[in-house]
Amino acid sequence: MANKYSWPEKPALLGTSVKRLDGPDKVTGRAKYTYDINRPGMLYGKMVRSPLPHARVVSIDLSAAEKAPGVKAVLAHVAVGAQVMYQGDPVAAVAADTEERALDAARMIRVRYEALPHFANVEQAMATDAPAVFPGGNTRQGATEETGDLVAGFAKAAHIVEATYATHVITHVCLETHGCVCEWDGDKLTAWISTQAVIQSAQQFAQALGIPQANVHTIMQYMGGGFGSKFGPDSQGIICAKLAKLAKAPVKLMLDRKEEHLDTGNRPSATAHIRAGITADGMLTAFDGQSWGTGGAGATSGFPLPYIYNFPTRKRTHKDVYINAGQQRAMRAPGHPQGCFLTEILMDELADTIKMDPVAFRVKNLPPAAPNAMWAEYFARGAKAFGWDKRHATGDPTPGPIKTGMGVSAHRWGGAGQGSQAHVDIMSDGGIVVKCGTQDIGTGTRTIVGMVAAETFGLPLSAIKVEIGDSLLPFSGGSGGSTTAASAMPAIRVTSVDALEALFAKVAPALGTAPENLVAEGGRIFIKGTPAKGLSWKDACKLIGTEPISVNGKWAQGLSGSGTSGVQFAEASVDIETGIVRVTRILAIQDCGLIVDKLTAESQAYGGVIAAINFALFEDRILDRVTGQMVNPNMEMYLLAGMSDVPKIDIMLNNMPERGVIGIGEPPTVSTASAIANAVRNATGATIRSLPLHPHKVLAALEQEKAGGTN
Amino acid sequence: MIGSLSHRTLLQPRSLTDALKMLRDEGPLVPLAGCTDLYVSLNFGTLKGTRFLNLWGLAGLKDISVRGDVLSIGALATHTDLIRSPLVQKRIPMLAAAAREVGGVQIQNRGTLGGNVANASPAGDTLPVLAAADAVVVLRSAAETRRVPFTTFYTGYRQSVRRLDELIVGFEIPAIHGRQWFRKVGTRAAQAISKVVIAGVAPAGRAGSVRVALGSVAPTVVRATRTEAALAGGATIGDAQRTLLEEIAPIDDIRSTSEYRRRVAANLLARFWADAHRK
Ligand SMILES: Cc1cc2nc3c(=O)[nH]c(=O)nc-3n(C[C@H](O)[C@H](O)[C@H](O)COP(=O)(O)OP(=O)(O)OC[C@H]3O[C@@H](n4cnc5c(N)ncnc54)[C@H](O)[C@@H]3O)c2cc1C
Repeated sequence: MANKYSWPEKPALLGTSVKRLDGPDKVTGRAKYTYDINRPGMLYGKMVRSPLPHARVVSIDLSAAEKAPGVKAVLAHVAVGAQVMYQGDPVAAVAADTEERALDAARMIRVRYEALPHFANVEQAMATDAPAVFPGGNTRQGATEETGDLVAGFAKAAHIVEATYATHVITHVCLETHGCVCEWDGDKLTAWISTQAVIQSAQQFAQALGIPQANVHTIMQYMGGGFGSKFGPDSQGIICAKLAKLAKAPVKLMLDRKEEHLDTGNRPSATAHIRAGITADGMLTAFDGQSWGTGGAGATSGFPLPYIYNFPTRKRTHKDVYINAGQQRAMRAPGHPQGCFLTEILMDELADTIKMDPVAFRVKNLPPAAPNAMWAEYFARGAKAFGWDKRHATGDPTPGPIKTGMGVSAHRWGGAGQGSQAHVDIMSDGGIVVKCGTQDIGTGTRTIVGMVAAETFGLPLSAIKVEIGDSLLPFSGGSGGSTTAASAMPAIRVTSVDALEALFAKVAPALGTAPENLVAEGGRIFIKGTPAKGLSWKDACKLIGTEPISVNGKWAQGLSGSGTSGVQFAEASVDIETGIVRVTRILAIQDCGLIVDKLTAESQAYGGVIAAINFALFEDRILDRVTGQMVNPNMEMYLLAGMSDVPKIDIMLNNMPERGVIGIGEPPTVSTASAIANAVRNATGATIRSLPLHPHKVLAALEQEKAGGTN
Repeated sequence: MIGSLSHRTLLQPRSLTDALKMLRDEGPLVPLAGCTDLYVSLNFGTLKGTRFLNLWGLAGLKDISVRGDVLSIGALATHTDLIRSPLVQKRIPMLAAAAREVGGVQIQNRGTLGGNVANASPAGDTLPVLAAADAVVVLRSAAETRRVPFTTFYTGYRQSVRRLDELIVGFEIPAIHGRQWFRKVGTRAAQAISKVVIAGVAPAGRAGSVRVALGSVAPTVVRATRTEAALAGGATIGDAQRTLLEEIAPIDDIRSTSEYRRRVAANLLARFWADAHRK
């Protein structure tokens, strides 16, 4: 039902490509990230962490550090006798007047440990003779999900594929590490914190420090990545606040790269042993999967399985396996890249048993089409745009060492949001301030907040002053689950419409009409249908008087939606002499309801695709199987794509304004790795059922294929 | 944890003579050129030295010139200098190719040929090229100048004949006849340390001899002389590959596996030989 808040039918700004409001500030360095915040008299904090994956703390000696030059505060984070459960578990901390002195002092904190048995991988934790490392058991078996008669399903199958599929652990690798600057004024705390949840961080600081939330002020204006790992102060934030209190001076505590890898979250591993059946004409009949995975020390590892496709009979069990590694955190579409990979590689293998085209096979087995389930259309559109008809059957017949192939994959995500509040001021000089306690975590939120207000007032984006990223602003949720746009945009729209109505009420008498006859467009307020009868925005605002228009509003139903679908195509080449995979082309088709800013929406898709190329080809958290210590806690041996590894990426966004705003931050990262792995399979004929596609694994698979496989 | 910066000192010589005197009289000192390797050690907490000798200002060690038939390259020539030098491009294009694959642009601007060699990593990208080129390392102390064939420069993993009072001042490269070939295998397109790196020279017509050298497949760079002899003697590529696998001894490490390095070394030998014989 259209109402006064409904999105405009013919928007001037929404859906167009608008450059980020803060782009110039970012590229010129004027934008201050948490890392850039410096306060008068500020100290530097440094944490001491367990080098062992599992140990009891026998003693902590802070005395040498306390006497070290420049040191202003030292604290133990755990009690003697406590257990540390992973390498990187925080133990103590110092604050000193320079970073180097803080480092030197941290080295002087003497902690004695008694090593305890640990698990560096799931095999060790699942072994029948494994020692009891985790209270309540080393694994946790989840409930069995079952639909339909599995035996009958397999009986109908003409072909059955049975294999084990797996994805690995990767870390978030935010380019700006986690951390904050904490400053006390009596019992009031101000924290500049790199977070995806500015208001919730204030709440968590208050809870952990035992002070009223009203005494905490958190600020996050610019952030260098979070991807699901930055929803609160964490141990480092609380320690920073405590050090600042002890030292009676502001403290900056930003983690280093190693700490980042060890203790700020990761994407859990996923392994599944799967049996699946299809009929001779390509209908799925049955799915039986036992899965397990690890989210580290005592954390879960769930993911959806099977993904997307319609298996009429299915059974699935899942087991969380605990190992002595830092706990997982939400990472961009938590669970979906894993479930997608495990299912999509299987799908290509199933299609090959009956020599059916992978796209046709997938389309045949989709759930019914719906606005949030547009795959069939996207498969068709994408196949055409990508040149899928030029795809050869499995195994590139071209002579020479470079083999090329194509692959495809589908995904879904939620993206609904609610609950944001906003405030709009219109001043008599025409100025507009829009306030909302949401945050821009690099996604472009600042810009789209401004766009929705500008659209509503019929003004250019430059007319709007946007205030976000501060806990003193009207409530909004954390930026996770792709909820920000769907939560904040309706609030901005509602509040802006109400503010405009208030302005119309002031302007209408001067124009000799009723407020409901007025419209705001092109920088003017005028009587609908007769643009000449009106005032410029500036002149109209002069009628406001001394007291500005000041309106609060909140999210309302009908302006946002839920559920997105997407399909991605990948082309990759494999050098069969070195096993090196290069992604040459990606096509990403994605919807996100009403597109607010086409440019930043596309940016999310680019970023998601590139992140997934990292997942597919480069990233891998490696723990030494004996010591349990991470062997690549850096960015030299934990690799990410460089610019020359980034292929041509085409984004096709499907604008669906009738569905309202839906988030897009996560879904574009789900399919890419699966599509790449399927392209590698199509190129070489070798099936690699686990990520990452590192050259040695690819080469070994090729040798195996040559030795025994068929091409 | 990152190494401490306190208690470290830097000596600043004004000339090469000055630097050599400091090495003799105030040692032990760690020479410091572009610092791209030294900073990595500092960050890993493995940088041992506490006193450093800054060579970066010694402009005389940047020269690239030809004397007679020999190309001389100063130790402080950066990878960018090598890429841009017309002399290097003309006489030893495989060195320019190797330099182009080192790190990224920033590293190429700072990292030096002398540093790459002195750092003595078996993965150093220019090392197989210098081995295949029959290069000579020019070492100098306050007392003397020594010329050491590159193939005898390394004595073991990260060890060389360089004495603590010596600096590498440059490299001398005799004329190379034949077709030069270089290939680096790293996981990503740039900023990747080699899993396998190989340089080769194939005779063109009657000029030149077969040369094959590899990095990242043994504790030091390997000049595969038996493989060269096999190829020169007309062995099948399969036989040459088998010989090569006897000459290398790669290990499993974080960047790759021994098995992978052996396969790739053999595959690339075949690729080198096939490319060399393509018209
Ligand atoms: C991000 C990054 C990427 C890299 N990528 C590559 C790569 O792809 N391939 C590669 O081969 N290397 C790579 N490196 C390593 C490094 O850049 C090279 O080895 C470079 O050539 C080192 O030169 P430098 O002048 O910086 O050496 P420095 O760090 O200054 O010195 C290195 C060592 O050599 C000694 N030394 C330096 N000059 C002399 C001299 N004249 N006489 C005696 N001893 C000397 C020093 O004491 C020290 O032990 C990379 C490094 C980084 C940080």
